[in-house]
Amino acid sequence: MRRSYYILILAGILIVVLINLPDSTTARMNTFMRDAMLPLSRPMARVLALGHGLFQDEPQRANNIQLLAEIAQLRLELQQAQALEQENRALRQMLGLSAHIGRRLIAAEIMSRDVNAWWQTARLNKGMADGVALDMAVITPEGLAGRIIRVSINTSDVLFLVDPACRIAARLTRLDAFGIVRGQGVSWRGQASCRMDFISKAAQIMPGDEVITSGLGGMYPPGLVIGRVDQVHLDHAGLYQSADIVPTSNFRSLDLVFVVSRDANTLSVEREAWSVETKNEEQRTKN
Amino acid sequence: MNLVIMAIALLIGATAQQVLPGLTLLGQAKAPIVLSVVLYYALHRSLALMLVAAIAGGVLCDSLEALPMGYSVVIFSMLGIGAWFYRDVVFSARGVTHMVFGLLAGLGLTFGLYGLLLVSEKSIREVAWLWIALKAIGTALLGMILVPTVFAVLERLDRLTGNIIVEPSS
Repeated sequence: MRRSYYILILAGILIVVLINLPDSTTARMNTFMRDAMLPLSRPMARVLALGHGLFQDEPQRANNIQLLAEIAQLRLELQQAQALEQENRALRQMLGLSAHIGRRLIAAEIMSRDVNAWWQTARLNKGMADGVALDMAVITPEGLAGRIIRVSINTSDVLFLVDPACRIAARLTRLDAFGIVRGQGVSWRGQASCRMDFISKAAQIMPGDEVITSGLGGMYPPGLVIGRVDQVHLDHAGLYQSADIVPTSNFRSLDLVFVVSRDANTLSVEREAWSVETKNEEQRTKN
Repeated sequence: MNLVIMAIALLIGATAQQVLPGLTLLGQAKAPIVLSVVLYYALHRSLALMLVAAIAGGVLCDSLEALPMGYSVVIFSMLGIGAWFYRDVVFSARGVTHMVFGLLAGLGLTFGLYGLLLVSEKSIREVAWLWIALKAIGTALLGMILVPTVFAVLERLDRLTGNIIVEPSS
């Protein structure tokens, strides 16, 4: 019995040490473990995805990824162009603002969803080695999906915008009214929702109004579609309006996302050895 | 050989737990595979071996998942110690006993983690009670199914490798 007590005391000390490890040590441990477990988790994720792509051959899948990447890229261009156009109009075509800077998109596949189910997160198969860094925006062809919250050498975790811990500076496209979008989680029916707070009382918000990123704070590029207004409320104090937002991205069925790099390069989508730009170039040459 | 089997079970269990998707209707409950392995050692092996499984499994889970380091270790150890103390309790049949342990451990895992996360994570305070209840029920149901399955697999592995001696509780 005495031996049991010693064992318990020893385990207790070990647990206290583990909980109080410095953040840098924990981060290093996490990165090491994730990369070390990759040879085991990657085949498992592939086996799970097998059912999904059972009736889809590899060239078709690669083609689909390329098409999705092109859609995401064109929408991003369009959204940013629209945002810039509005800005330009408002600022009476000030010089410099019209210079549109493209962003490199890094295509990444989702290895596992809802990593621990307490947060709305997913693990991507791209990490530091592919150019992914902390706080980069993650998009889908439909709009904004979230941001990178953890990176290891070969993997990264994305926090979806429907998570209560995710906050985004946003703007209502039609009204040019600003606010903060916060995730509301997923209902038991699997329906994801967000809420936009601190909207001016003067704004005449209508259901269906488009909500986009404002670009304030610099984390998310401006003009990315977040979702559409569902319902509008007045906050408790009656000082601001709040709006329930239905996100445009379908978080339950995501397979492929694009990490928006901070590189101010010409627009190109990198996946393995190809880029959309190169593919388009080849097509033009053939034609 | 005990430690080798334990390491294999924990590595495969933690990876499978991470990769398998949560069920929306059950509050995104994840399959408690690592907890099932810890329970196996709590019911069939010594306290020291069970704590090794709980600590190693907890560190694996916390590293692979987004939980702060040490949280799963605390919960696995507490549930393991609880199961170890009551390992002589038998409900009608062996299979039923394992299912009851799985059910209770599933509930303990969800509420235990929720309690710890409430203290450290602000965003968790906004999670609805219904969601937590669903998640607890989901984890308990999955535990009820998984514990006897994991036990059967580990017993077979132990038999194959010659680790069949059940150590008496000291």
